[in-house]
Amino acid sequence: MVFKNISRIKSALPEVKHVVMFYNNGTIFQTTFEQSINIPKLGENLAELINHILNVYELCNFKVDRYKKLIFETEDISVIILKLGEESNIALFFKKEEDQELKLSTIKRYITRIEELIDMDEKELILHEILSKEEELKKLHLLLNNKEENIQQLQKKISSIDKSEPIEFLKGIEKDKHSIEEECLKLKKDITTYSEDILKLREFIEKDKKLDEFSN
Amino acid sequence: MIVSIIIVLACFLAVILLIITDKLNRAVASLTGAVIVYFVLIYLEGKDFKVILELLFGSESEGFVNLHSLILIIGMMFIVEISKEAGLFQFFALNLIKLSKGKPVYLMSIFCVITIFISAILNNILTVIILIPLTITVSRILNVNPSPYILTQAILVNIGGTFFSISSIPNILISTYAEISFIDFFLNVGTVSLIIFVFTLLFFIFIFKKALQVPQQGLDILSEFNVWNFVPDKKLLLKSLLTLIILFILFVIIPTSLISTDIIALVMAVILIIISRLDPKQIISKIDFELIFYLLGIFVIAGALEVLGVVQFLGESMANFSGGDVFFQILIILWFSSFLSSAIDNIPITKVLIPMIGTITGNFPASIGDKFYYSLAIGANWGDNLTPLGDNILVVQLAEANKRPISFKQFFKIGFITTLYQIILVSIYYTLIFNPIMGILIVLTICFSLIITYLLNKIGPKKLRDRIGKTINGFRNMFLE
Repeated sequence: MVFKNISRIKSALPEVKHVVMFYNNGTIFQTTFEQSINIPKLGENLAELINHILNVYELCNFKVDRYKKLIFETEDISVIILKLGEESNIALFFKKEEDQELKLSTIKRYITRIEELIDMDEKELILHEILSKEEELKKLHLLLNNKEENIQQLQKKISSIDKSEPIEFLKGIEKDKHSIEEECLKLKKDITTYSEDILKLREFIEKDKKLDEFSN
Repeated sequence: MIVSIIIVLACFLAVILLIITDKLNRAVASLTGAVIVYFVLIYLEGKDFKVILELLFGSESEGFVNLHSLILIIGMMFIVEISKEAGLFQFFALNLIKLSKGKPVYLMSIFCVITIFISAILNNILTVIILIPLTITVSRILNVNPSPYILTQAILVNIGGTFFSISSIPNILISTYAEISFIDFFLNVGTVSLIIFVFTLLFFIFIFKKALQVPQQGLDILSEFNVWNFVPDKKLLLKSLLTLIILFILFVIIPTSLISTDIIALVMAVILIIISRLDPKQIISKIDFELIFYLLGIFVIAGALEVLGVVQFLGESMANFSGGDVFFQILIILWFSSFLSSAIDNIPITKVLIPMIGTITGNFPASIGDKFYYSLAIGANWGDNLTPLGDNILVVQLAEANKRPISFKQFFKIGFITTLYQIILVSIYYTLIFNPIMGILIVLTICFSLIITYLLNKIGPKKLRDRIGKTINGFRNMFLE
């Protein structure tokens, strides 16, 4: 999946010589560089590069939430480091052609795809959790409806029972009804817990959003 | 004498306080304490400078135990640093993680196994520095919450720390002082750690089972993670791996009476430095000199307490308090050292408790006496997790730095309960050894209670089943919130 996106980047921008996907802690996820070079050191240095520039911003009292890209041009090779996800980055090593403008927009969608694949940020993780909990909640509601229908059917059965039927038969149905009612109660409790969890997670996301807006 | 004792005790307590409150660098704090102790011993007590040398490196009659400890620590530091530079631990860890094949329980178990094996070789701090960022990176790829894995790893590093006599500084100090061989330590403490690890893993799976999920897509992406990206040089990886394997083989086959473990470690370290072809200056610069200076300071302060008779007094008091009952004394050492090391760094605690145990075990045969030291090794290493202080703060900081913060409260709850559970299990183990009938009765009662609870939960009356289910869920949720 990630490999596919790398090869698409390379075919969209043939001047890209090498691609390095790395995390802020210096760990390299994938690279097109050969193993003969010191890959861990490469990741460490690329991560340090970003940190140094961020430190420069801090020293100059410039506010920075997240960087977008970092460009280093030389006569032969240029490097562009782009921010991917929360903690991930992609470094593209270009062979520089004469007066050629880099059209990064053409590879944007592949980069977004890679970001989704290798680094989902915390908010997205919570959104995923909300979605899965909502899915569970739907299932619980469906189950509750079915159980309530069962109760109604049993109630109808009880009221239509012939008096000649043995008392044990009636007791058996009432016992079933009672047990389904208990299950319904448990389901309702679970529904409340899930709803509360979803509400808490949504509140967390909202709070985080407000904090982001405030800091911006 | 009384004035000297008061000053030295005050120094010891002040150093501990400065380290807990993080007001002064631990090496500077302990060296300052050592300097004060020097003046007390030389000018108030009229001792010779030779005493200071004996405190730093150990006396000739005791076989220079402190010097042997220092050589072992330095030798292991070189080997570990080069292996770390070779990416050996990350390479080994990620290869194992890939084996989980998407089963959340397998993944949890693999994370736990990796933790104890890496912490059996590295110290706790290095283990978490390597493992926590790696775990968070893997969790990003898998799109899962890393908290359960981080919490379990933070607790299990201490279990791994009691595997071998070289796994932690307290173990090195204990085994060197008590002349416990590598293999004896592993058979008596390492195997107990392994058993307790299995019980702890089951406990973690029980708590976190519902919180563990691994989506299939994440695993497919993880399979694209190139593990060789951690390795700067394949040859260096091979050399480090071979050195570690040979080192462990030599530890096992060479008796300490022939060549001591510190010399074996130093020889292997020198060989690895030469064959690694790394810049020696670069390797030496990565040696933890802060730890070495900290240890030297602690050697002097703790040694002064011994010279002034404080340690002997405490040892005799403990022996009198327990009425000479070996089993009771071992349990006291286990629980006492656990609770002390939960609040105070375990190195000074161990350094003071070692000679204190020496006073108690003076008349016992080595087979019994060593059990006191084993109990101290377990208590001093595992007690750390009773509070989220010390090394554990680093775990919280690392998680935060990697944008996956974990709750301090949650860490405290799980750390405290798990450590109590582990110490209780070890206490049962000692009961089985020293009082087999009582031990068997305790084990049978626990097994019987668990079986009854399980059966009631499966085939008992509905109300009771609900109540048991609710209690179990309540217990689980206590750790997940």
